[in-house]
Amino acid sequence: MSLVRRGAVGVSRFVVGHASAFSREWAEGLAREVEVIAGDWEALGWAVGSLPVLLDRREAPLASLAEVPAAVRRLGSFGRYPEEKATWLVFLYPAIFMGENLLHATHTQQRAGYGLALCGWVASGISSYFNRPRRPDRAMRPIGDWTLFYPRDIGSWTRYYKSELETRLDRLRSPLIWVNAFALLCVCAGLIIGSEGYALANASIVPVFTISVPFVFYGRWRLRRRLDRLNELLVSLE
Amino acid sequence: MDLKIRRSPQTTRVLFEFLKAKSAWRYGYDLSRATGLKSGTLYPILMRLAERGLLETNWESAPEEAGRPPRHMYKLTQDGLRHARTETAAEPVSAIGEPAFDGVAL
Repeated sequence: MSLVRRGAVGVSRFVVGHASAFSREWAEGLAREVEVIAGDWEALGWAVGSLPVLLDRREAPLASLAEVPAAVRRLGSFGRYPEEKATWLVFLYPAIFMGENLLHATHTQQRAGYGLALCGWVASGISSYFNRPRRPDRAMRPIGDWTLFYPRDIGSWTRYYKSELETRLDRLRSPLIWVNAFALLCVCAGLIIGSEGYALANASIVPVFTISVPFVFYGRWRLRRRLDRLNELLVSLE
Repeated sequence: MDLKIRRSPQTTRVLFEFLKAKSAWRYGYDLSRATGLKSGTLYPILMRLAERGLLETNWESAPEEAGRPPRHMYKLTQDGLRHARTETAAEPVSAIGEPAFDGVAL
């Protein structure tokens, strides 16, 4: 096998290995074609052309309720909620330093700027606290040790999964997300005003925030889709 | 199911190619050669068609050459055939890329 052909096979294997559950079948279909293409360079071109499949990160919809335990595992936070305790503190912590800056401010512009940034951090911490992820009701959780009794009770897994999806969706729909975002913009503005332009680098949070906005909507859409599919399966069983 | 699919000359070309052999299973590479589309253009079209229930997919049951893994095959569904006929009828021949008077000497 020539080096070019090996490269083509390597690229197509990479695509199959990293494709989402939704597009894996297509990635495999593309990879199998590499084996029948006679020209090495043509095979490489074909394999490289399959790379955009990696951009499709959609997940395969649940085929049956038996897949719910695996879906819960993919959600990734089962049985652990560290963020429930600490995320809001991440926002309140810089407020202490901002308060110190405010105390040492020498003139009005600095006081106004650092005051605004302080308010921003505090508002952000408070909104994060009230919108923090909440652990679903204990009664909703699957019975027993989930690592030992993995597919034990589909009913409780399904109730847990549904409750988890609804909780996450509510969080993303909460107006507190936008309060938090506005507060962070106040922090940026405050830092720029307070440092008289020297802290312009802090404004980098603005494009970061702008980029993150579509992710909020995407997250909502994804959760809505999962929830709709789960409801469809539950309705079909009734 | 929503059967609407974005119209493009490339999609029309793929549909036209499927119409040439309505009931035959087609392979990705063969479709690529016949339509002149690269894999990066062809597969998103096939994926969209399959998603809308216009394309059926299957794995080859008995590969022609022994030892070769089965290939992915594609065929239009009944809805797909109806859609393809409508789309290719509405599209001018030049967009499909087929010569209108093949072999006619001027």
